[in-house]
Amino acid sequence: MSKVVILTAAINLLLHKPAYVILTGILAILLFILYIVINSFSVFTSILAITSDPFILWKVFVNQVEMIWEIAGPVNVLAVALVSFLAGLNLSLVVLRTRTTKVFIGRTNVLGFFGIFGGAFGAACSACNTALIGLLGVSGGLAIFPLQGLEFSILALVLIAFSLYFVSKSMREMGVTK
Amino acid sequence: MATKARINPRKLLVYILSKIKMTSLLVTLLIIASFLIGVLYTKVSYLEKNVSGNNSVIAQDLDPQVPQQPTGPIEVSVDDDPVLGKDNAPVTMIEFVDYECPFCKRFFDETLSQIKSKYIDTGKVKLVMRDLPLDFHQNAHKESQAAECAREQGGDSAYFKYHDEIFKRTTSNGTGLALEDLSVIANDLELNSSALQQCLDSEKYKAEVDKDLADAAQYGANGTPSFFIGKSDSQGKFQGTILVGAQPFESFKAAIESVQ
Repeated sequence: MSKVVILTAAINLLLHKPAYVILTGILAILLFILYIVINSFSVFTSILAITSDPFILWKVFVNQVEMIWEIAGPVNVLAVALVSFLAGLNLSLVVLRTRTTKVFIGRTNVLGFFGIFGGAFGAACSACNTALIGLLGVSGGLAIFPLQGLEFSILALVLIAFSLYFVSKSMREMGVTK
Repeated sequence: MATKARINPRKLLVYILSKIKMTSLLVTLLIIASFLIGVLYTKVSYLEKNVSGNNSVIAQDLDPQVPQQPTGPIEVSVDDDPVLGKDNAPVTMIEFVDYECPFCKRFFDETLSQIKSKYIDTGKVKLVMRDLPLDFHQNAHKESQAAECAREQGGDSAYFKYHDEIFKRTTSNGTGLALEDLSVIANDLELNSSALQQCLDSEKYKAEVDKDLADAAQYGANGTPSFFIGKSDSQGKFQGTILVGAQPFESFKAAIESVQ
């Protein structure tokens, strides 16, 4: 059976369970917000020291996304959104598998974990030199990378894609999907 | 002989997950999110308390050897840098600028004009421009020096005209403006372009720009643009709260009005 069929069967199963679809959506949104905020951490902490007005915080968040879109390019934002969605899907499948089979398989989640973690490095920031990788001591932050962070998103996407396949495969082997 | 029961963490996790209904899981996620919001709220309250209270403790916590972003107002200096606005404006805003930073350009394109019309032109705020050319932006240091050279010829007014022209012409990507264009800008602004070129070649203002860089590091301004906003002081030093990044106008409005 091809890899695509195995993956499709797992996703189809999830799509027929509305609670898991909602869970995927919530996780994807939370991860997207997290990826943007963590790469503009100093931006958010500095405004939080001045005001906690939710309207202003929302404006700052939207402004960040707009700036990444304009300066790093739409592909960068879309890649972060895709990583967030696939990571949410991956986590939901792990929950679905574990709740159905009552077996927790840690090793199939390792790649997913690295993918989710790696995704955090992919989002550009809204001030020079303040991206997550810049904070780790890489002078220039994501600006020194030719694709301004898209490299990390691509790596994260590959890791999550493999993780999704392994989770789907284990679901099939355990009889969760046919 | 009695066998000691051992708990397998993996089985325990599976048991817990199997007992949890999906609705409960969503509720749990909601509780975790509420907790995180609560933590954030507490942190904000703590920071706001420090903003209105005695901040000397925070200032003392800053290690001048290790630049770290301040969590409350710290003493910053306007130095002898160019000023836009009335000298007696009650609020001072320092911008640490890098002409080759795309986010500084974005601030210039989108936000500065709003701050100028609402606060600077009305005499409420004066803007002091200091330099923070990051080392990986190849032409930024020279552009900062060129603006200082323009100031030498025509004062703060010439400085800000030159500043505006750089941002209008550069693509802000490290080498967004050719160095040859620095004297062209001077010519277009009816400044003495050969004098500006001589000034640049002599690196007369290199030390001035380097001093701004050192001060920025001391204040914990690691990225550009970085702003310090606070109540003006006739001594040229004031307690400024940092605002990092090309934030929307609403952020600056909140920062300025929290000082007024």
